[in-house]
Amino acid sequence: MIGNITNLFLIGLISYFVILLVVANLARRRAQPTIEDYFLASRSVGSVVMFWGYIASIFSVFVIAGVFGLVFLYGVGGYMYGVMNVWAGLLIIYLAYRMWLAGRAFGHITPGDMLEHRYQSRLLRWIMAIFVLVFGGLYYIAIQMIGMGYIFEVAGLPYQLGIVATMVILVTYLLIGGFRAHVWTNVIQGIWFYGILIAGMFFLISGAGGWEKVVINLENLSPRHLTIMGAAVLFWVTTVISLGSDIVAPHLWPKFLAPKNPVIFKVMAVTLPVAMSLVYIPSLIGGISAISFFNVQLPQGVRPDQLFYAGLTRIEVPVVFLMLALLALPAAAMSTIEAFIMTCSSVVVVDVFKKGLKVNWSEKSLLNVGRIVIGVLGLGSLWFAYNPGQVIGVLVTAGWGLYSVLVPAALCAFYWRRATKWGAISSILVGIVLILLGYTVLTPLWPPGFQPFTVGLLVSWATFFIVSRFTKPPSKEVIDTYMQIGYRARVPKIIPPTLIGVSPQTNDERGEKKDGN
Amino acid sequence: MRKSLKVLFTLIGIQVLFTYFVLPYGWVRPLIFGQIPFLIFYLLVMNLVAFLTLVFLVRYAEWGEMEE
Repeated sequence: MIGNITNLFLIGLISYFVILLVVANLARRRAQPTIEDYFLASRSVGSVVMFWGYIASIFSVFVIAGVFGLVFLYGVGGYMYGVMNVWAGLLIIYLAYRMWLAGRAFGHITPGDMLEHRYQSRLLRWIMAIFVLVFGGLYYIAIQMIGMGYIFEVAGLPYQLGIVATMVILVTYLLIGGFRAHVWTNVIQGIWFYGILIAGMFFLISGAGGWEKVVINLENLSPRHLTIMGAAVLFWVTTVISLGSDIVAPHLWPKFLAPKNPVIFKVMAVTLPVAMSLVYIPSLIGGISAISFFNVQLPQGVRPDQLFYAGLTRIEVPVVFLMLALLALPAAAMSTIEAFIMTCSSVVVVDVFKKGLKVNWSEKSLLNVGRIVIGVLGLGSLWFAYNPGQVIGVLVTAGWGLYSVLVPAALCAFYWRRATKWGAISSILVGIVLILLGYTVLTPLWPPGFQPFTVGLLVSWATFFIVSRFTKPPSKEVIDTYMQIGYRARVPKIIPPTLIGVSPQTNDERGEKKDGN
Repeated sequence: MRKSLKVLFTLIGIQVLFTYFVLPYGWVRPLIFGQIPFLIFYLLVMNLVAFLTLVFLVRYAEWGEMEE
């Protein structure tokens, strides 16, 4: 069957690439030659695009591959991972919306913009830039490509050809349409893999002989898959503390600066958490069915995270559906890759060149730098995908934990007057070191289900509070402004003069921008 | 904000307790309407509860002047 699908997959892949390029071309027609437009679509993103843009960026290869692995490990308890997503509603209101308010008022484009502004520290901007480029750059893009490359082999195409072609197309449409092309294509990619997951669930249940047979089979072979295992509870408890990373992860933070009005945050606060929870249902039901179908014994050479496709190919689903399902994995991977590439490019342009080195270049020249960075990241990640090495594995598994070390600095910026730059810097650095240790030398200490980033994250929060208590906070005007945004969701109409001095935009620029619009 | 937090913690409590006590296989096995696993029914109801809670959360949150 796989031999028959190669040609069909190739046709589907080419059609998919053509659709992406057409969308990018449409995005280009609305483009303006400014940094804000290229990296944030001029803060004009609507609710539908924002919703799918976020869903597609946050759910990478993980939702099609990783969650099936989780269900294989923890059975129905794997769904506890989905339950905790309702927290995201609170974070969208009390963190993301506040970030958007500050971003719109002061012209923030990157995470470093906001943190430098609030904590009045250029050093913090540099640390953020390095953080994003190291922990959200090449290796994460490469691992998505490695995960995606597997699907080309399943479809009978060379792995190398698949990832090179995908990266060329991806870089091309990002160069053409920037952030707007990225979020518009995300709508297609998000709906695609969500639909495939739901349809795949029904195929897997049916292929396993129906739900009743699935459960009876598992009761006999592995009843533990139908219970909440202790490890699953520990996994849930130790994962839930990292949830702020849903907002401040480097590839997601800029997305919350792009909506065109506050109503979008109301819509997102209600719909996104539920959608994020629902997306795990097909993975849970499909995973349980696939485990039962294979009698809890994975076929030779198949890993738990390949269960979805192993199940679909074994039960011989219609060939067109299999082709669409195979293409869903590149769609899921590409949406996440794009988000990382766009963020890294904006960080180099804004944090490194414009605000860090303070080069006096035109916006057009800076945008060209951004485009070069996109190309370099594409080539670099291909090299990493060919030469992954062990360090990639450590960095990827530590990824979400590492992003969580940004939560204390981001959240307390709006709600704690005593928060200082040294508190922010020390919590980020201490958190990084301890989390990386947690995933390497300290691994033997953790019980099954325990997330290795837990200790590092708790120490990071403690460091933030302790160091902030003993160091000097920024000026009163800055703190008052951010507290007003945090507690009252209001930006002062008149920006205090001392705040203008550290603001990425001056009051004149703000006035010009308003006139321009 | 306190009201929002109360609403959210109540939801988390309900979801965790339900997930812990309802998901084990005694509840996973039965079918309803002859076809649909109770598990799916339960998951959808739980997410409906989440949806309604989030509506309340948005209602009580501080949104500023909401200028366009």
